[in-house]
Amino acid sequence: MRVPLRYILLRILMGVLMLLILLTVVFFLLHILPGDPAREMLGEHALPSQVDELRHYLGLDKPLYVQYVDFMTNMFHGNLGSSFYSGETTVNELLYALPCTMELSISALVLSVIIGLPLGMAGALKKGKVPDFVIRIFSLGSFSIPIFWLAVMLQVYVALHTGILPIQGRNSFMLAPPRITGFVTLDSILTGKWSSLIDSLAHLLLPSVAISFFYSAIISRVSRANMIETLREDYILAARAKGLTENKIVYKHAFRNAMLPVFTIIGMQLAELIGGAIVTETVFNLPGMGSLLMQSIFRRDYPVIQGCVAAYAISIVVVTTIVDCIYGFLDPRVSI
Amino acid sequence: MHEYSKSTAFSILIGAIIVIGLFSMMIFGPFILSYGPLEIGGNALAPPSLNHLMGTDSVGRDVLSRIMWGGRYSFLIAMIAVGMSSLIGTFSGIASGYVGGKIDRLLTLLVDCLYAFPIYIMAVTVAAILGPTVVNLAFSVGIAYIPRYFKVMRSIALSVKEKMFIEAEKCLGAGSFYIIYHHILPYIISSTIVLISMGVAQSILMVSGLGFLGIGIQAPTPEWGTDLSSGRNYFFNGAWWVVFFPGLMIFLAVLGFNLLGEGLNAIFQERGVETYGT
Repeated sequence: MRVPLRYILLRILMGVLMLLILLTVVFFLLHILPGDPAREMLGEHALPSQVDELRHYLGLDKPLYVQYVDFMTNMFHGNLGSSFYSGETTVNELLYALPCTMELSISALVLSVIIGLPLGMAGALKKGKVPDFVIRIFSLGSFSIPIFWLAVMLQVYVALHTGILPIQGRNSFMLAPPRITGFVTLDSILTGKWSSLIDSLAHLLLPSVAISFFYSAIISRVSRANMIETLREDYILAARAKGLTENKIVYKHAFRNAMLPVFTIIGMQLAELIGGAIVTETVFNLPGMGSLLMQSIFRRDYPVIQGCVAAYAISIVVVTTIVDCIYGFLDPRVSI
Repeated sequence: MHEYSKSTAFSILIGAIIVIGLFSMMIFGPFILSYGPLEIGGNALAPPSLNHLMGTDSVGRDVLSRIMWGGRYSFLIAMIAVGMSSLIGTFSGIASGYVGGKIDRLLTLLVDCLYAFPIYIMAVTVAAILGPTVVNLAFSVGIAYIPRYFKVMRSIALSVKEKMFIEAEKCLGAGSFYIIYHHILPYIISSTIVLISMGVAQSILMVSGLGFLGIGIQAPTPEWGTDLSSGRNYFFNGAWWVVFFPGLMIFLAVLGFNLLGEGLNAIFQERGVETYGT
């Protein structure tokens, strides 16, 4: 079942609209910020003339609406400006940071699904009994734990005290693979450096675990609810009347149908994860977009802040559009 | 009297106990404590003892006092945020659903854009830009939750609008406000209560998260997330109490409100009252 082109285009259009609105809001909010980036860059002892010169160079002395129009036209040409802090183009900064965040988000999502899905299924099958109750308590608990607390505790008690897993960063010294895609796991595989691969995975484990508690709880609850709904359907009753084994009913029929909405939720979780990894990146010192955003906020690095927001918005639109398309492909009933 | 399932009773009971406990701690705690949150009453980084039940932090302040005081800020901001977003979301959602037409479509589009964007990034950016005052933080946390209220209230308005007796009332000359007040409102209450409870839980998480990142409540004002962040370095060197207790409080607070919300949701469902989209 192909999803019609106009549906995809509509989603992309909505995404572009969202991007424009968000960027406009962020632009205007940033420019009402007290504090002058030029002065921040030059320090307290700079002469007023020097500060003015820098402001002129950065284009900060133009009227606000002129800056806005410049900003938007530049955006359309793919020019997001340069970082006030490093001088590197914003796009380069973002491209450097994005793979790290994507790698973390994907591995956290995989872990969340591996943990959450079976738990949700088990809860649905044993509904009302003790295992279900225990699973739901565990889920609610995981959902309530602050990720930063969990991350810090894991970091100290698992990594620092036992030394089994690394404390922070993406790779240990000298074990980083050469940069091809920016995904350290992929790069290790592509260059055949197996020690790098193991090192990269070890560094990914704790951050992913910290994030996955929260998201596995969501996945567990949604899949449980959907499985219960599906098991109530008439065709399940028909299958039982036909004499199919319970195993076959559950795994072949119920599971597939229950999974469709869950799949959409998982896709949404990935989009959320991309944004929600800020805290974990801070705790484990990972150079992703979250860290970049935080650093640029503290440095008043306007172009990079705007660039980060744009990058987040774009990734979310891309992820949700792909998920919707795949969903349309999977569910034969969907034809918009 | 209605028979509720065991898990529902459990959720409500434990949730209520935790929430009431937290509120009492916040309100009465500062009166029974021996130390103030900013008062340096002991040795720096002293482990938990009879004098300081949760130990002291890096400057010698009592951790227990800071936790009790810090709770006030987290709750205050969470309450304001939830109040704000539920009011805006509810009014706009009901109005949009009831009025329908182009306005409804436009608002829904805007809200969908807002909804799709990750809560954290939005809160972080807005909080960082506006500055760490209580109102600003409440605003940045609250703005992320408006879409949820909007969507739920809108679907309630839409479904009630379609019912036959509404048409009948309109024929009799009932005005819009009358219809909204008498028919839509009763449905809202159950959904709102559940959404607010869960909303408070998530707001507390976010506020402490922002504090942890350094763009929330600033030191030396006590706040669970901020304290946790300042305590990290000392945690590495063995002072576990500076990180453990603030985090534990956040966990308990969030758990309490989540349990309460879950339990209320289950109660409403078991009674047959419809709660939409929670």
